[in-house]
Amino acid sequence: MFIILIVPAVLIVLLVWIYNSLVGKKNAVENAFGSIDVMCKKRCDLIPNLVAAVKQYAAHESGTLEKVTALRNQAAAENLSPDETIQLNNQLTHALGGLMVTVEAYPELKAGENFAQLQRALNETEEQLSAARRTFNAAVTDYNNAVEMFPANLVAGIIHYTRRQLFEAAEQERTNVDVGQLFKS
Amino acid sequence: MTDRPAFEHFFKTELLPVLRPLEEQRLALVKKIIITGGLIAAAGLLLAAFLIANSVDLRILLFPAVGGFALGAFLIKRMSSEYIFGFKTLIVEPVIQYVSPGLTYVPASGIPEIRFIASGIFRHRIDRFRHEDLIQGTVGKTPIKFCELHAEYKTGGKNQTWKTIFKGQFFIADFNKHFKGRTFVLPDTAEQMLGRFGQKLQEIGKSHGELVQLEDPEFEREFAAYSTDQVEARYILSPSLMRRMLEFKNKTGEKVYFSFTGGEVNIGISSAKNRFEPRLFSTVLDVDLVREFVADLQMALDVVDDLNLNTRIWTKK
Repeated sequence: MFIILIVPAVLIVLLVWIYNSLVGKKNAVENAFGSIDVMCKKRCDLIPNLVAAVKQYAAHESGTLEKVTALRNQAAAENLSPDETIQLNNQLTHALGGLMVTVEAYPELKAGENFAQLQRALNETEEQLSAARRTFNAAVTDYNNAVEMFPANLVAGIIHYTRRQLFEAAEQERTNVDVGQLFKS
Repeated sequence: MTDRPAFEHFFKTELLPVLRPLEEQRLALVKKIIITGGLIAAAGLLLAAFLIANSVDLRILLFPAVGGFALGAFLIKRMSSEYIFGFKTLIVEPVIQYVSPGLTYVPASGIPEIRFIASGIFRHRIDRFRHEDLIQGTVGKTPIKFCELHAEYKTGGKNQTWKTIFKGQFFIADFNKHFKGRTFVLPDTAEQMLGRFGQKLQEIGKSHGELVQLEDPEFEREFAAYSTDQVEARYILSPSLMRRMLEFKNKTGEKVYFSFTGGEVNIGISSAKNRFEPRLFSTVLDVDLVREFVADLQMALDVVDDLNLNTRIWTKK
């Protein structure tokens, strides 16, 4: 008789615990994505100044500059889905990398205090962005483990929690930078 | 800086003239110690003979024996302190100037207890705190200071004994990135022994902050990272810094503790070795002894390069 009461009680407690931990993990993922978003916005704020500084010395690099500006404007737009944010920012990372290589050809530009400051700020946000991305990936891995592992996967199935994508580093970041290619584009 | 001919030249011209009088001082000191020891031993033997002659229980001898040893140790320490101090100022100081001019050396000082506690690495109550051999200065662009220190606590109850919290070299260096929170990287004992279950245990030990799970499996095996801020912890612990910390740990072969607080990195390397100490019972006119000092110092200063602290490409200059 007693057993008949205890077993369902234990099951309910277990279910509530699993459910809560799943929700907690999902929120951790969203929270981590939030910090990626913040860093992306910070970087977008830097780009107009950077473009202006480069323009002074390297006016005929306008192709590269326009590409960066266009991507920046797209990335800075409101109402982007997470996937779009990730994709646009990956492209932006690549374009900025290209710009920084181009800049190597302009010693007067690089010598300027203003530009040096901007470059530091850009390095800073890139480093912060990479940290935010790694935090996001850690949160997603934790969440995915919960969603796929027994017994939490049963509960996850009921409340329609599915695997989330990791924020992969852009393909270009992983392969070695082909400097010659960057100068052509 | 430490190439052989230059070093030998430095040893011959700068150190040998100072070492010779020190060697004489050492020989005189050894003589004094032997005489003192002999006197104490003779007194002990006389006492023993007297007791045996009066057929008293010999177990009583234990007390004067212990007392004699303690007295001997105390006298040796007192007699040699002047010699040790002279040695440190006359020999260690020039060696440090030779390796890296601009560093300052204070033999009898160290990192204050309050700074050691502020590093947050060790949370135990400290009952006895000793430090020596403070070296400070700027290496490249990085201000750094380090010393040898020994922090202990006393166990309660009847059998009070001193237990070590930390003994070894302790560093405080300026970190090359700005941060606000507190991040700790400590030797991981739980995960090494218990695997995934150990990870659960780490989560329970939250006194240092939230557990930060990092991507580098080798790093995760050796260390456990805790922080008040998950993103900031990863900002500090970039993949390349994690690699460097691992290599640094393997190089020292000791337990290594890191904490990142107040814009600085605190590093504790536990070690039983007492660095920059003179020898008492063998000659100091020995180039290898000085060479060992140089190597010890170089290893300590290498922390800056090992952790890449001179790379200042972020907003902190």
